[in-house]
Amino acid sequence: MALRILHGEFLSHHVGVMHHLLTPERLLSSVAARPALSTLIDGNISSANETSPPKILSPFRTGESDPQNHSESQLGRHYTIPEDIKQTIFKHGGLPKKFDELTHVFTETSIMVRKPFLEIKDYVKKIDFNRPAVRFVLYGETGQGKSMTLAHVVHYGFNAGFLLVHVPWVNSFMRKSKDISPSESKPGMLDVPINAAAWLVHFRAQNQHLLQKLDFKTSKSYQYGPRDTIDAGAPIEELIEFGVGRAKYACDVVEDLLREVKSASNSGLFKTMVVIDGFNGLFSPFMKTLRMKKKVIHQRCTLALPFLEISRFDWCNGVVVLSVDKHAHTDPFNAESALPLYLLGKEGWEHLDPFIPINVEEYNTAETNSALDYYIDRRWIQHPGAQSESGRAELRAMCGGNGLELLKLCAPL
Amino acid sequence: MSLLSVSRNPLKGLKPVRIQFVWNHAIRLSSGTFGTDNMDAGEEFRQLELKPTRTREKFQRKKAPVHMIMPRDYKRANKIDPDNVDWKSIWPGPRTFDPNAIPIPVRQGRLKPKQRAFGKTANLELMKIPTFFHLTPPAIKAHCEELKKFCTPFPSELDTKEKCEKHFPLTVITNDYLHAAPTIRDPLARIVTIKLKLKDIPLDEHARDKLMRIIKDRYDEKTDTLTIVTDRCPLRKQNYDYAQYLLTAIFYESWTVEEWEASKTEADMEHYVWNRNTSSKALASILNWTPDKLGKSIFHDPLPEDKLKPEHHAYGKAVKNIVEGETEEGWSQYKKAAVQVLLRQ
Amino acid sequence: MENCMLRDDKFMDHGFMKREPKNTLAREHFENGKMNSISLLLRSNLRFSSIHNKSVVAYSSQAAKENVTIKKKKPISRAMRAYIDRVKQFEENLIVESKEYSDGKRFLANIMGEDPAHFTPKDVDKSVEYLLPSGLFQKLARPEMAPPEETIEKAKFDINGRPFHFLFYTGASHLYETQFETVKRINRAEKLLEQIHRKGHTPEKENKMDLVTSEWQDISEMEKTINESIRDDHFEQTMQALERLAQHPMSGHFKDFLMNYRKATTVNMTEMVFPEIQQDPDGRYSVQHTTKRKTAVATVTIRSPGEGKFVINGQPGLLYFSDVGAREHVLFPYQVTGLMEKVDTEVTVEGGGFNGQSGAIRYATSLCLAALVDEQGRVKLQLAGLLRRDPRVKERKKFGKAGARRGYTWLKR
Repeated sequence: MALRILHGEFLSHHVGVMHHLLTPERLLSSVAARPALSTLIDGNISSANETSPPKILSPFRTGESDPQNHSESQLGRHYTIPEDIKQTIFKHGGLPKKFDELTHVFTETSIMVRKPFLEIKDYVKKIDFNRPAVRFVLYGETGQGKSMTLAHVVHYGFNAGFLLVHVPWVNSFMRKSKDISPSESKPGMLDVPINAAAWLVHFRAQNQHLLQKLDFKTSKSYQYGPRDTIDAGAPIEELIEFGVGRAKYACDVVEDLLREVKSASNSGLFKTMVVIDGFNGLFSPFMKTLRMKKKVIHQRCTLALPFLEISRFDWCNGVVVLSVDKHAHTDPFNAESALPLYLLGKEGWEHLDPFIPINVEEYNTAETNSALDYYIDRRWIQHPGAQSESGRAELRAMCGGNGLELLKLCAPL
Repeated sequence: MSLLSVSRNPLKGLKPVRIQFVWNHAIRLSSGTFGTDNMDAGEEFRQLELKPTRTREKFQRKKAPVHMIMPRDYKRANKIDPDNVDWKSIWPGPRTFDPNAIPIPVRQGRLKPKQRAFGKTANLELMKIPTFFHLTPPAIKAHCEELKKFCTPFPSELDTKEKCEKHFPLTVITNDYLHAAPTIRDPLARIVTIKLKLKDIPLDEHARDKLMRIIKDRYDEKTDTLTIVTDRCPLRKQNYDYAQYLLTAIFYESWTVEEWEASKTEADMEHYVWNRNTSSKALASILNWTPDKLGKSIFHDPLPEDKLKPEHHAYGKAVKNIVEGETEEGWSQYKKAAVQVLLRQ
Repeated sequence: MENCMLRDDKFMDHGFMKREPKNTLAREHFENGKMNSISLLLRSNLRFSSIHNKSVVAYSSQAAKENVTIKKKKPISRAMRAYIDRVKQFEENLIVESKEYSDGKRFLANIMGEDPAHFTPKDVDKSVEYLLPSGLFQKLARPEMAPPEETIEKAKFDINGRPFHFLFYTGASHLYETQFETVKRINRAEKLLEQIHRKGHTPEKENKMDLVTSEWQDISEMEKTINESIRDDHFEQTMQALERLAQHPMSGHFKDFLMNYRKATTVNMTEMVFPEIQQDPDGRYSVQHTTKRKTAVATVTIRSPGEGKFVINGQPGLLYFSDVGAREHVLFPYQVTGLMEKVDTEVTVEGGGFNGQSGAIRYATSLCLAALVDEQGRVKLQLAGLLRRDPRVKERKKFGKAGARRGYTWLKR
């Protein structure tokens, strides 16, 4: 498999850029290999376009845009998320900020198919959905692709018909909450109404199509204010709509909504996929930077509770995919290790154990080459020196297999 | 003719300066005839000054004679024969550098880098240095020769290191300091260090655990050595006694079992035992879970020993590994075990 | 001057003789350690004379006396007379001091229990350091005992008041002598060239000096060579003349002269010691070396053949350095030798900052690679300046300054 990729990589840049480095025999062999490129086209694409002449794809790409069909053969290649799906699931966040900016430059949203995603996909297939929810924890150094893998997983869950409970970044409300107010329902705790309402919007956008199809109704009536009640048996959209409209109660609505989601999937109405990025942020002290630039450490945030609740194993028909990150740690700049036990702490460990840890490793050579080819293709790398073999070798060594580092290094090239 | 006598003259109204001026002028005019012996060979021709310029002689302070107060034994060094000197008797103890007693042209101190350094006489810099003239190699040798008669030979039976360690398990370390300063005392000499290998003292599991908690970082795991350093008393003997007391006290303290030791919680345990911890309870809860138990996460009952399968044991082992120190390998082991336990095979 | 001549005998009777008691007084003072003032006096007229390894024969005081008595009638200026006095005094002091030194040396040898016959000036220094252990930082400020011939400066004039050096009155005698000698050689070179041209030949390449293997001394080195302080513009003039000679087609004839003012650039490769190559149990070759830079110490092990893996202090990849420049530092020797992604590297580094550490690694790597590559590769490494230790260290902070050079911010009071 790796050989095939290497071969492809060899074709792509050697034929295009590195004529002078090739010996005559090598050049001949690569020209001879040219017709073989058509074999690299994905099966279903070619079958779909049988009448039209087959579109030749570069070997760092795959035409398979459905993550459900991704397999070992696509390993290290980029697939493109269709624009409409991207607008549905990532409109309110979910892609790392740096990458999201680049999608405008690249005029497409392409993610590399990598091993951690395929592992999760295989494990999800093996899950017995009558058993308690299985938790996966992604870990690895910053910039190695945890969030990208989660984005891939979200796309997979969306295509596979899961109800998505997706938190793009926990510390957006645990560290940098927009607004803060004391909770009425839980004395001594604090609400983050704007963040909660924003999350409800995100949830609604991601699951609109499912909610319309499903017969998902509230199991009991909810009383928020003297005149704000949701009756039992009301469609769940009504609850969401109420939360979005009345931000004051948004935190309580999130809690009730997730409880409803949990019980509904427990009863087998649908399957749920919980995806939370920077999960260890939930166990760090809740902070709020005030106007006076002082950090105030409060008690727990009310919005953290429902996400902690839904990441337990006491329900079925659910998959929980989490990530732990140095950046979500209490002291992000002095985090000593990227391993889960250190980042989760005792509380988090006891909350999650047992779970399936998934290591998001650095790029191997083939993956780095694929990324470089993709950047050259998207004209993110324009410098001829960086496109030469020696330049690529330098970039491979300099980035140390870290995707984010590679992105930064290539930015001025 | 002095000016003073002029002032006593009947010519009282005349100012003395005026007289002096006239006198000077007269001398100047007549210098050609009788002033030759004052002139040096290389001096220029005389000049006729028609309008003599008034030159006031610069007032010069007379240089005071230098009265150097020389020490009694000034130039004592001259009497020393460099080839045949009994230096130990001349310079028996510590003393400041004395330029007159030491016959070497040593120099120190410069104003500019390329200049020559100042000589040894009255050179403060040389006197600041604590000298070693009393501790020359021959002097040290002589001292050692004198001390030799007080020494005893090392016991021949203790010929190997093992034998030494067996018969003398306790090592006491003290430091003595040798100074060029006038005092023979050093505050650091009071510090006493005792070292002991823990295998040499009888300890059971409880006592060892308790001892570890008492001695904390004074124990070195690599060498199995306990090190106690005492420095709080002013005298070495007191510190030594105190170290002995500490050793005795911690030994007996570690053997006593107090009542409150029974109320040790899981956090106080020295080893992680999986079956006592939440991890095993969580696993039991997952295995016994049914959909009607929604909202009940942990049932507070670990699995009984007989119901534990090999994969559960493997999982417990992996958890123990991680809790006692997480590594990449530990996590891959844990992953294997967790997949075995959680997923359909 | 006529006048002076007439009075010469008088001087002999009075001036010189009268000063005799004064001289004894001076000797007394000198013996009491007041030599300094006298040597200062001397220095006003006496300068260094041993330059270009040409030793000026010191004249004896006896000769001086004879001179004076024979040339009684000759005019002698007062300044000259004073000079003669001082020279006489100086001679006497030198004798006394030499005796003191040799006596002191024997005394030291005896009290240190050594053999006086084989007691070298080095042993003297050692025993002075042992007996008078000064804690002063500057070595020049510590006690010393040197032979008087080394420290006392010698006369520059002969007894007639004529300077020994023919260019003494230029103020920069040795520099001008160098220029003079250079121009003389340029003229000679022109003549040689002319001879060749007259024969109808062209000068061969061998006649020109090889200027690649050596370079010009800088101003401070030049000052040491000619034992004289040099002004910047004088230095430039001299360099121009020397350069003209060096560039001359016949400069090979004057190589010995020119090499006085040049230093070798390339270290002799055959003399360089490279780390040993060892064979590992797995069949690979490995080289290990430890080097320093600033305060960093790096131990590098290179294994060949490899895949270009890096492990720095147990951390895979080059991302141990967050600084991109430091990573480039480390990669440079591989790029020079073309061993990029062909060997594996393991590094242990401690101390210093990232620059020092990367520099230390680079130096150690270069030496290891030099052991692995052929002669050509070594030359490449050397030309890149990689086989020389970087001697630069942090400049110390000065009092009254914010750092080494920077002043404190000026505040208007």
